[in-house]
Amino acid sequence: MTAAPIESGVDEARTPLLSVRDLTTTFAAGRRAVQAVRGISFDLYPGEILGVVGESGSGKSVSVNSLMNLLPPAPITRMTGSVLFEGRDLITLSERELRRVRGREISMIFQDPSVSLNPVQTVGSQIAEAIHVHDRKVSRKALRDRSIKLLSMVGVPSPAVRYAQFPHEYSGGMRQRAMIAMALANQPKVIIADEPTTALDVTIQAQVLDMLKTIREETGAATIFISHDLGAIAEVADRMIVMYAGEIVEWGDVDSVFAHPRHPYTLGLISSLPRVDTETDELVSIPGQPPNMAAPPSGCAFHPRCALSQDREPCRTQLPALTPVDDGRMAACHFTGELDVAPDRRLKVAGPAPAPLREAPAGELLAVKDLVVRFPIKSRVIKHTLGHVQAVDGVDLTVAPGESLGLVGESGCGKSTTGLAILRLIESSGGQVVLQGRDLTNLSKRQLQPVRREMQIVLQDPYTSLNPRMTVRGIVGEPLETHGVGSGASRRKRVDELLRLVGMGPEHADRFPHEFSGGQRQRIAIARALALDPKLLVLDEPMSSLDVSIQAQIVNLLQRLQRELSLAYLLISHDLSVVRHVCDRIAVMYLGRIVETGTTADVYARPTHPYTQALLSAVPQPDPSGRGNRQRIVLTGDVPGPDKPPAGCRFHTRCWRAQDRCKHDSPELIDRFGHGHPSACHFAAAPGEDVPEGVDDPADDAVSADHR
Amino acid sequence: MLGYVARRLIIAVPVWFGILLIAFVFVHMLPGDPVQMLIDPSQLSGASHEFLAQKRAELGLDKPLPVQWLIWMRNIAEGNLGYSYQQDVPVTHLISQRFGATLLLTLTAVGLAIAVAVPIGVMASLKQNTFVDYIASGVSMLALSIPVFFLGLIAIYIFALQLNVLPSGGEHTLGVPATLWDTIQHLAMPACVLAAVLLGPYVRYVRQSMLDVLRQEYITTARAKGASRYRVVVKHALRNALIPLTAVLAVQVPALLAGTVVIETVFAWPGLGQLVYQSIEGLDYPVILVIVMMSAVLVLICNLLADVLAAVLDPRIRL
Amino acid sequence: MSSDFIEPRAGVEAELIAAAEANAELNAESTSRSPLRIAMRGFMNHRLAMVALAFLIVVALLAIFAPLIAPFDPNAVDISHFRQPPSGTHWLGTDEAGRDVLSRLLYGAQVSLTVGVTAALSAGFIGLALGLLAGFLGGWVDATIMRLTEVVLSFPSLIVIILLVAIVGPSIGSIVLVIALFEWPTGCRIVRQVTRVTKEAGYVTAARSVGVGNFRLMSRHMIGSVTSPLTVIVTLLSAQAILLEAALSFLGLGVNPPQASWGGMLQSAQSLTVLSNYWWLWLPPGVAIGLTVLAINFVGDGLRDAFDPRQEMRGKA
Repeated sequence: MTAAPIESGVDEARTPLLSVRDLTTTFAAGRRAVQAVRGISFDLYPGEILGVVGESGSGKSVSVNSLMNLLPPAPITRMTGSVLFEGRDLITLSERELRRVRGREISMIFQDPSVSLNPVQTVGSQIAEAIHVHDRKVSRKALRDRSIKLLSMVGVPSPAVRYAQFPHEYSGGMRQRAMIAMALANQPKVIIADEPTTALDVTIQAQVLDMLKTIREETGAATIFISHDLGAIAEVADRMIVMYAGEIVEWGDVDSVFAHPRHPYTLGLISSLPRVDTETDELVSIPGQPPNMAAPPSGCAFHPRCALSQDREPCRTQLPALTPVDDGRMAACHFTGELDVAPDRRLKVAGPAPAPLREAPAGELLAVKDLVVRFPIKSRVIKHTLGHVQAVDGVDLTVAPGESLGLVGESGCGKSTTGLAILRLIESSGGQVVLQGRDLTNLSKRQLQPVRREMQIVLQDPYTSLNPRMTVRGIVGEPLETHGVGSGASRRKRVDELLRLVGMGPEHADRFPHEFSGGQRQRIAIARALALDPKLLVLDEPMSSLDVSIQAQIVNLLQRLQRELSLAYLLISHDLSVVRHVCDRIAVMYLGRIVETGTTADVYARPTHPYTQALLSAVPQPDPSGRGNRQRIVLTGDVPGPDKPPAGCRFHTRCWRAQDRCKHDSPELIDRFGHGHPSACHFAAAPGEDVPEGVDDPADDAVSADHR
Repeated sequence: MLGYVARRLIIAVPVWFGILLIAFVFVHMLPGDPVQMLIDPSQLSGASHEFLAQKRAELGLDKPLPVQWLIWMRNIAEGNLGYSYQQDVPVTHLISQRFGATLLLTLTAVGLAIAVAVPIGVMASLKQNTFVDYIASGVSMLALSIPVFFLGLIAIYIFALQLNVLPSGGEHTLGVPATLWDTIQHLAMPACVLAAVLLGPYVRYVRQSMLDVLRQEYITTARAKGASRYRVVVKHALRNALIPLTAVLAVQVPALLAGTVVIETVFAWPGLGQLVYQSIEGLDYPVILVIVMMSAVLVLICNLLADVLAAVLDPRIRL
Repeated sequence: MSSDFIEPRAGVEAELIAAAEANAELNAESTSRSPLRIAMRGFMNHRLAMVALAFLIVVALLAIFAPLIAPFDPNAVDISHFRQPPSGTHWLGTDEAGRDVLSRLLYGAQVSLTVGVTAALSAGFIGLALGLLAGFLGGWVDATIMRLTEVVLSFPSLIVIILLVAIVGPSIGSIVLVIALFEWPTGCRIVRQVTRVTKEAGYVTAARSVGVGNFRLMSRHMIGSVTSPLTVIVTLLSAQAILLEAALSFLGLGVNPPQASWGGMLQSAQSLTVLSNYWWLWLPPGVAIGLTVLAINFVGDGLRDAFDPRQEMRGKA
């Protein structure tokens, strides 16, 4: 690719701070060379936040890590092109010269703060080190003072105490703040944030995103913000780059890219996202699999998956150049002119819940009553129990036949544990799990065996949920074998049928899991779960380790299967948008308890528990146009550990409505308004409404009849 | 921390007790009669049968085994470790003499091995898959494969017999007052040979551990700060990499103290290993038992030490 | 406790993984290959390991066919020709009893290899059985087995081995037994560790949710993940066992004379006269032990690289 004439972009007047031209990064993997970044060019202007979005393998992380030559030393890497920063070409600088740039003029924030901090050094000393390595003259005391100031600047409470603590004494969100403090230590001109919120929960993510915006305002530093999450990009970025297969396919200001994508891949990405703020029809997924970077497709790398291309000549043979399109934006597509469809054509107008397409499910397939799961905390030496972690603390749920219930919450809230306990893969410590009128909690292993045919699980990580040493046929056929269903030939037929059902073919049956991509593996896992014709599927975060475009494929598959096989789903997820899209009803969990439950439409339209409200408002939305007038509730603090949950209402430590009684009086989950969706808050109120008089005492509230 | 140490010690009691019992049974299963070993074979005629019986009673060997076990346990509880059959001196006296020599040999060797292995291992990890790495790996593999006695023999052949620069064995020159220099000369060969053998596994541990740490993200963080290479390697990587090594050492050092029989034989080094060997040959029950008991205690202490050290080095570990 | 949430595989690491994955996919394009075959392919690409394996095969063949190859009876005493330097008749000379050193060397290989292989396999088997039980069943079974490994590891092993050999009398069988008895804990601990990790793996949870019984879980799902590390360990243990046998023979606690063994042949070099004047008595067996053990260690390394989980299961657990 030739150097793109970026200068014709929108910011002609200003001079770029950082200008990247034709950057190529090659890894020697075995005997082959893999080009992870294939000749990208872009400019970063002072004070802007530049979003870089792309799926895994798109080269977005490699490209920014190439800027300061920070790639892990393991594979042999080669870089060509230029990275001009204040008159110097960073690519040609020696390691020694580069060191003076790193952390002083350009600093970085990494993805997972739990592994990015040295575990055996105090957080304070690591921040101080960032200053010390660039200015040896600063005294110890001054280092300490400045570090503490930085910690308080990023909102770490009691910074003087925190200064002397080790990373493992910090919570996840706090660690990321410390990383940010470290990045700010020398007032850099450029901050590179590589997926800084990916490892964080949604309420913590909201805090960090806010902080990135504040930092830009206060320090004027330019930021490169890398994310796979279009919502996060839309939330903070001014301009954005879309990457695919190591190349930039689209570049422009955030508003217009989201409003009118000029590249079919960008359009595909946006359309494959379910929305938390509106109802969506079937997601428009991008077909196919992510490109194989060792042998990228010829011509335009996206053409095998492109709906616009229709396998036309130039797409197959010619690499499209990144060229300016209409309003000063750039796109790399031969037929960008044909792409004039507004992406929101599929969005329905936000409003009240649409009429359900299916009949409202009736009856009770699964009923969970007062489920409790406790894990003992054992001492390291003599194995005696020190105490308990109350992972699930009195959960009630029902799922009707053919219905889908979403169980949402942040990490550590106990939602996965609930799922595993329902299937008796973890033993519960109390309560009942009733499936089709039969209490499972006291069944023996033998008695449980026939019940297992009725409910199955799909796990989160398709990379570990398939035995790497078994063929797909062995994996999908294992349930049939275990339950003695059919024999040789009929089982073969059934496996082929199951594979076809999930969109794969019999030709895949004799292969091994490692030969498939993440999305394909998840399809295999679904096929296995369906082998015995279950009535209920527990889906434990089945999409969370997949890329956006693949996630949409799986969501569509699950919805199709539900229609065709009238399955009931218990979808466990942290992703509120997916749950809104898939589920009929939703239950929100916080620290082992359900805080609010109701129909999806109701809860999303009128959340009454402050936690639900905060959760919903914290989800970044892939719609930059509305970011100015959206009301965000940013919760302070972190989720307390489940080993020492707060007394009373467990949410009171982070709640803005909390009053004295919340500290000791645990609220019950009851329907306070007669909307048919109960919530567990003494001061429940829909957003924008004040707490209604008289509602604060549930004992007096006689209107709590269930209208469903 | 203190509570942890106390609990560990309590747990160790049954383990330690089991070891003693097994050792006691084993020792008494040794073929032969310890009392007969005390007598010059040429004098072993019919007349001395009475003497044998008397000697046996004197040593308490005429009682049934369980009683002997109880008596021995009581004696140990009272701090009386017994007398050597062979040399008629207190076992403690005998062992303390030999223990010093063994301690000198093994600690020198371990110290030497660490001092050489850490830099080599670090270098190899930094230059992974280069000439330096291959040489380091090759040498450590070689050290891992050569039998220690063979290496010892080669060393004696070269340095004592051909070059004649070092003595071939012993702790010091006989008949001459011991000097430091003399001891160093005698120590040099056995210590270096033992160190060379230890070098193999140490280099591999350090290299692997460093490679694991260098792959961690906090190393990238340190680089992104602009820290110098030295700082990244020594302050961030090495400290983390050496934590697992302490556990390895903790298992190895006590095993070495009792397990240098071979090298002590080759170099005629008057240490514990030789004492064990001689005691087994001479059926000197009390000496064997005390050495086994002592090594079990050492293993325990070293393991405990490793735990404490790990907690000191790694703030995430709480005892 | 199960974690509720694993971040999507993003960042540099994931991209590198993706690159490697893509590479692997390319290799696996035409025919479908099992992880075992991929590991074997990896091993065969390991040049040093292949050379070492070839060397071991040659040594094994020499040992097996020693009766056909050896020029002399290894135990034939010929007082008139003792301590002869290497010559046309006696390629490696003769020892103090006039026996042919080359012949004894070939027969000695039988002892070393037999001890190495059988001791390591026995230790590996004990380790596999106990490790699987401990890791899979947990609870008091686990606690008991772990205490047992601690007891064995706390023994000063060489002392106890010498003690045991003295009790049961030196022979190949007793040496194998004693070594197996003291070398199993390494394998046991690794097997236990892998079993515990595998037990938590997604595919085992999935199998349990289908109702797969314990026996099938162990035989179908656990054994597979345990075999690769165990193979490596057994290989390295056999090197260890050969060294131990040699050391015991060197101390005079090995096989009964006049049977030839490498360690036993070196015993004569404890005399400084032999050491300085008759190199052919001690150098060949020493080199033979060193090379054989080196070769086994290289094979073990090659196996470990081939089985490396980082290459095999690219997903992070």
